[in-house]
Amino acid sequence: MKKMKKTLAVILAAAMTFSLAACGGEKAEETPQPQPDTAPAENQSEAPSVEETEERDPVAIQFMHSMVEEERQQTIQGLIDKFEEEYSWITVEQVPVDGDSAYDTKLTAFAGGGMPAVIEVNQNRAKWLVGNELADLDAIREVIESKSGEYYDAILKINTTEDGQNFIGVPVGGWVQGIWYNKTAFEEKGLEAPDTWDNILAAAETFYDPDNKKYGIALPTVDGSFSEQSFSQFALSVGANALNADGEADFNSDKMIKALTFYKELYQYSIQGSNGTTEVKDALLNGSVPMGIYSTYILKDLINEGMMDDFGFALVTGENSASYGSVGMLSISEGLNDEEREAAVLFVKFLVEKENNIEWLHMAPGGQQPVMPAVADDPAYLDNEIIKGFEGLSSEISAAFGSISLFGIVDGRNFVSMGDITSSNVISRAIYDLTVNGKEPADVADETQKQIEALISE
Amino acid sequence: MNRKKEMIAGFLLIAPSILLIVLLIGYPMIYNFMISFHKVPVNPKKSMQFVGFGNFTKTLADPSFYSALMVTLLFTVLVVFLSTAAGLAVAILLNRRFFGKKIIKALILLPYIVPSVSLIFAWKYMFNNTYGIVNYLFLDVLKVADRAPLWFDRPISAFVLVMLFCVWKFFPYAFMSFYAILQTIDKTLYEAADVDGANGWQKFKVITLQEIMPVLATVVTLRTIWVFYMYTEVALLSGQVKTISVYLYENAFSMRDMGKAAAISILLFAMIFGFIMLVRKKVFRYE
Repeated sequence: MKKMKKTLAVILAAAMTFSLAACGGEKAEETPQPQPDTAPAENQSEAPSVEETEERDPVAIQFMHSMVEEERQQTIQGLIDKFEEEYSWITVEQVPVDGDSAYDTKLTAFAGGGMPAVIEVNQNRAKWLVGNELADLDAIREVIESKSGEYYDAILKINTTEDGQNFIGVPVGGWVQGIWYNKTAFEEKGLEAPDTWDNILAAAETFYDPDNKKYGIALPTVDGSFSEQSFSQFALSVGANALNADGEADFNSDKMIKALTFYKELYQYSIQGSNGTTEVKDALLNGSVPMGIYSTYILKDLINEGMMDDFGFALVTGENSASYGSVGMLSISEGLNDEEREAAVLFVKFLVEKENNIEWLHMAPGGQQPVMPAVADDPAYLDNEIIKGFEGLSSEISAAFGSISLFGIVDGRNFVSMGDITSSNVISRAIYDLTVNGKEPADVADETQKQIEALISE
Repeated sequence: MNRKKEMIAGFLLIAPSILLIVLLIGYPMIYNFMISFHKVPVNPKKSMQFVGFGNFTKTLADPSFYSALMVTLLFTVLVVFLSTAAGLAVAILLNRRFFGKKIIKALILLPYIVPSVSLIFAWKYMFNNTYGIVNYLFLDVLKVADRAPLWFDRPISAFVLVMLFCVWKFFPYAFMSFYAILQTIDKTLYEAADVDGANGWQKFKVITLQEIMPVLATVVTLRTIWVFYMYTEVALLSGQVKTISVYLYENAFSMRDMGKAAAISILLFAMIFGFIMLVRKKVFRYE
């Protein structure tokens, strides 16, 4: 009896240790700011007939997205309600998931079984889903083909699969990243816009005054995807890519080392340390720096702070212009039954209809940009205070969409392995080591090359 | 016969709990153990590939595993010791009547009840290079440095700050536990010790420590498990404190190597379980 008691105690202690350990792994995340704007929109789709609706068996699908803010969830619920009114046999449940890492965690967990039918993803996650055969490429193509000719070419270039035959997701919006600079400060110093490497470096040197807490640039250096995005613009502007035309690692090329050397040189004039989105945005808004690399998500803050007229937007230009862009997409999961698949296709088609897409984009006006010219020019889309506020920059932002270049897209081939490389953070860690830890460009290039090779071989 | 019936009744009464434990903890444990011997594809439709002890050997051959383990052990020992000692000291200090005690108790509990994320961002702002109050004091007021130190980017300073944060955030838990047990100690024991001429240390060693030992053992056990696997505070404050939970998370969700992550968790479980059993048997022998 005593032995039994002891055994039971050991089992319970083991179970307690394990369960407590299991409780300790949730990562909390920073959330983007809410952007309430829920302009009502009319639905243009062809509704099914009453007879058709009555005959159908009910079907329920889930929609996983990253819009955790209450206002955004309400907007999405409004869209869902409208959809369910039209397709009364379909029920859509939204599954909002907070933050970048949590999203990856959830996605990995869902991948183990029970994927939501429709998932909002960026291009890297979309590539990851395609690479793991978790996306229904035929269903995605069905939606894209229904919007034939309506997307910007640059968006479709990012959106194709490696073989060029399919699409990795259905684009719903996108943002671009480039150099935001204080035009007034540049004019006062007689400096050119920071578009070429030389101009960027000259301006950073000119403004650098650390004794008065003024720095030349806010350069992303954080050990996270923001650094990879920022650095990729410099690398791609001189034709350096993480992969070559055969999809093999190409991170230690001379051009890549040249870009790494320049990034390190530029860091000398930057605010020091690990600079993530918070640090870069704060530095731009509080005047510590005259320029910084950030996405179009800064527009709302510039407008709210009354700084929009002072700021300009430039693309990094070396041998060619390069901007980083991220396309928000909707993926349809592989393995749904026929009814669920049909419901998912109908729901995604519904979300990319012009009026509904405008409502979607108005959740984060300025941050999320249209991916279809017809939406960009639509008076309903333009009828928004924030969007009106950056009208003067619309041509620069459109140009940025045209110049989107991404690691992993080589000679028109969009290698899905880049999704794994980005999510592993090897490139962003390389940028952190290069700048904050002061490692040599050639060493960083060689080390990263080996890591990318290992990832591809796996 | 009666005793046998009582035993059966006892087992029946705890059966629902055991069933729950088996379902909620036993099944994941067994599944985790199983996948630690496999290469696990993300897509469940693809079959798992049996790799034997491959995930374990891969983990044990990885120098990052050992460095993460060392960092974690040091971190755990320091945080558990300091937060327990601070909690006990404050509990002893407050175990008397004085004006404003309730307010002080509430203030002590504040870091424990405020969500970690808010506190982490407050700390990051405090140590920000350009506008943080700490650098303002160091550079502008005290003028002890020319340039702002990269607090969360240098491994040693990052380790110290994350450790201090965890001690500050979690010592109220120890405080609450000790404060509750201290109130139950019979005052006459101290009076008798006074009569015998015992000094403060002797009273603490012979009376207080003995009386609080069950709570001390629980606090140290639970805190050791929590700190050993702590992820949120460590990962959000600085990417430079590479503890074992960060290493595990990166393998599971950045590299998406679930088999290796499962193998790591099995190794860690074995370590922490062995450690807890050893500590409870050798150190806390009050049972």
